[in-house]
Amino acid sequence: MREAKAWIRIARSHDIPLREGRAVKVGNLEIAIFNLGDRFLAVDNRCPHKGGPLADGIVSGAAVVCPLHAWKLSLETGEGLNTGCASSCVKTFRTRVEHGVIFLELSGDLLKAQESSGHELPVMCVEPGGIAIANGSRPAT
Amino acid sequence: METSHRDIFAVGECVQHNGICYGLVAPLIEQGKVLAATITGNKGPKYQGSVQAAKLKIMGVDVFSAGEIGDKLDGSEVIRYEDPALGIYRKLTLKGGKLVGVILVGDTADSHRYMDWLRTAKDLVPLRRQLLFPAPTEDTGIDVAQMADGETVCGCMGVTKGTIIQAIHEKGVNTLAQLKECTRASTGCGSCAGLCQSLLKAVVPEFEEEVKRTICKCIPVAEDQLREILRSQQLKSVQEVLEIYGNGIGCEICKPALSYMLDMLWCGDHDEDRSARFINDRVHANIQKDGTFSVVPRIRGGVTSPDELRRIADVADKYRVPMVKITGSQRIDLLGVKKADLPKIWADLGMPSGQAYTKGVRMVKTCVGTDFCRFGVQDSTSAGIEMERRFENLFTPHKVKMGAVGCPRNCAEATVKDIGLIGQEGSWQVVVGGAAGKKVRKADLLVTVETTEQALDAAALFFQYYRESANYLERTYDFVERIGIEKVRKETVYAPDAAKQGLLERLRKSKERSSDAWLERDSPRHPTQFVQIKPLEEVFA
Repeated sequence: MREAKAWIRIARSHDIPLREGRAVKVGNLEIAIFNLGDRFLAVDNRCPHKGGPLADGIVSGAAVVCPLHAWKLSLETGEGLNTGCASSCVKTFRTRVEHGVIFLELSGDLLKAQESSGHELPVMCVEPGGIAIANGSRPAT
Repeated sequence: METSHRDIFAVGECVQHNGICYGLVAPLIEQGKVLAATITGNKGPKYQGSVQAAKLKIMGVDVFSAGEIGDKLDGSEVIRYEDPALGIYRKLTLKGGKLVGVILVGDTADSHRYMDWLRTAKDLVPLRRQLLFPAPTEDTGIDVAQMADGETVCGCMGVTKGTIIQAIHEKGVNTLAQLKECTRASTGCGSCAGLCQSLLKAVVPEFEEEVKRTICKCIPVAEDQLREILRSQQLKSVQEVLEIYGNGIGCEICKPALSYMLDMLWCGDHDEDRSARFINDRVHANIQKDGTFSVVPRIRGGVTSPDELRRIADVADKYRVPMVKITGSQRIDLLGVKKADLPKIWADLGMPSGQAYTKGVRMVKTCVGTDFCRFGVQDSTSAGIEMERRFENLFTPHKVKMGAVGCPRNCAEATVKDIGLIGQEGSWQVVVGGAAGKKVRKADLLVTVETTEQALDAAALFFQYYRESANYLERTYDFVERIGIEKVRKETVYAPDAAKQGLLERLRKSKERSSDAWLERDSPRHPTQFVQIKPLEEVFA
């Protein structure tokens, strides 16, 4: 089977402040993108420990520290740096920047999974004033 | 110590004695002793000059020198030892079988031994084979065991090993701080601190070594020292500090600590870097286990109104807040809020941030005081609200929870708060360092004063002193215990007027620059501060 890969335009580089992360929803995936000054690194926005939002973590070099229980994960390899967690503990994604736009590489199996699940989750959009609103109502709990 | 004028005596750097001007503290103290004996009419032995010794760290290398260190001494012999790979150099100058000079570079641990030989002009002929290194003992770890009781440990204060051992046994000394207080050992230049620690370790079984607290391994500088460096070097940004004094990277421990330090030192006039703050301080809400946030508006002194309560209820409905809870701090918590909803909720509430998410001023818990209570003797409700108003929006080394009660029945538990005001007939007790959390501790009495204004001033002095002197993440109860309430009093309410004014002035400046963090709903620090970014292209449309 052919391994399908696609580069998608994910965010503008100025959306992400220096040494901070931001979460971007792509279908039912949530990806944390970090601005390290000279490059952008992207990982799955769920800490392998308890699902903490890594995009909200403090950046330490090329690693991020989960805000919930301080698991430190390499943004380059996905490896856990202060845990027993093996390499590729959290999934990493390749990125590149062109003309101020950050591109993210999604692989075939992810794309496939996306197609079948569609985009059921609410998508956030940015108002001109910079404050986000949810375009859908909160899913019933 | 007499001069040409019979009424004037002199010691120290202004004096030349036999052609030598002493600039160090040890000779000055020896001179002082002779002077004291002279002017009190107890003339003892005359001052004969001191053995000069200096222990320094030059470019990170320990250096010690004492006595005659020149090369050309008639009839003297020189013993040298050099190990360039280890960076160790030793040179001893002997004359007539006695030590007259010594230089140590790279390792100065033996300096006290040589100082003792110099001072006592010890006959070294029998020790000829052990001049450079002491003969190995059975327990090589404890060099202090070899020292004679009469040997000087602290040259500055003239404290012998015997005196220290005596203090340990008779006065129950078991920390370096206590040893300093009891014997004044290690209170001069401090170079004998290591030796004092080894003595304590050898004699006191439960001794715990006092290590200078550093924030983390990113910046290998003790915290109190670091504050001085940042102040004197005028450093105002976290990244700058990390690049100059640290590893250039930083971590989740030192970045928030440095953020606090800079904010405190420059009274809010620093380069605020949100990437160095914990998420709670980026979005002004407390992150929960599922990545949602909790919202606690400020309800000063726990006093609210039907109108405020209606707004809170409306917000809870409108944003389908999963849980509304009364907190332990007389406030209301809206739990399970999405990051993107935060600015809108703050706007709808129209109330200021309660800072329930940060190392900062939490709240003042109050009782109903004199307004309704039959027993109240002080208006604790107004006093508490005023205290909250004066300190709110400020950052602190760790969270600060306060209380104010109108009588000693203590209904709002002021005795277990970081700062508590306890009303009594005609006066207030201001108490500090209380705790009812991980640790339970009854607060110490700082001062008793007559008026509410005096009580608030005393609280302000302690509050700012804690902000400036505590280590990051050190609660007041640990801080007060570490410093000792006596010292806290001396440095706050019983400090000289100038010092008190300084504390209050810096607090005033910080307060002036502070503001309600929830106002960032109208002017976010960054366009995507509260936003989850939408992809630029719809991938799976």
